[in-house]
Amino acid sequence: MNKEKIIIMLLLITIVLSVGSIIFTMNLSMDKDEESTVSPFNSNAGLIQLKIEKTPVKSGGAG
Amino acid sequence: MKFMNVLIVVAIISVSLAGINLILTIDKIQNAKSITGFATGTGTANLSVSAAASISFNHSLINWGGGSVDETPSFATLDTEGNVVGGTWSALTGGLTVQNDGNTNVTLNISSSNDATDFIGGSAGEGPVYRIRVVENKTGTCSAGTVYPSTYTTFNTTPIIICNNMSSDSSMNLLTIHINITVPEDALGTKGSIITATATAI
Repeated sequence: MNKEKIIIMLLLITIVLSVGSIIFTMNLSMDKDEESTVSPFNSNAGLIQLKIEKTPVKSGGAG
Repeated sequence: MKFMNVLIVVAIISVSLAGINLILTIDKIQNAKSITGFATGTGTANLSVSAAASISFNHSLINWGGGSVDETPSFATLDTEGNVVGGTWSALTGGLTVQNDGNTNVTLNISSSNDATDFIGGSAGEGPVYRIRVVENKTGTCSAGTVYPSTYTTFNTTPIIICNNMSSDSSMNLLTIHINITVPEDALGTKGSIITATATAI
């Protein structure tokens, strides 16, 4: 193998390794931690309802 | 020949640098895995679950509907335990139920949007009464069973702690708030009261 071929081969290996390094780094870049902010407080509500109608007036009759 | 030797040396250095770069990158990523929880077949996933206070009303509406006070006495008493005395409203069984559906024990307090006068109105008899009592719907919901109030007690806009330590365990995470009201015969109209429950993670 002559020197020119060795040089070309080494340079190709260099290029491949460099590209591989870049791709590897990009694909395995760290995911950012998702920090969720959870409130220590929570509230909820219930409802009470009624309708108050007028008391019916009862008429009494003589027995 | 001399030029060729220089080229070979430069090429070897380039290959070496690229190799070092690759090794360093892999090494850094390996370190990052242990921090972020990045998982592989043999890696360890680290997970941190934050405490979340969360409550909800399983039964959030008490509606007695329409009704009137009997001629005598001058007031009617209603509660959510199936009692209607002196009035024509339908009896209701079952109060409001509050569930701790979060993943942490909480301190639970409640308050009303109004007091008896603003909620019910009227003045006949002893006047309007608005009271609550709290019971464990599931035994053990409140640490040591210390719910408050356990007997009917006047309720208004002032927040009260009904359970200092409400469990998040699904087998014991439910409280019932029973309502007891007295309606004077001179109260009229559609009435409503909102009960707000607030949970604070322990």
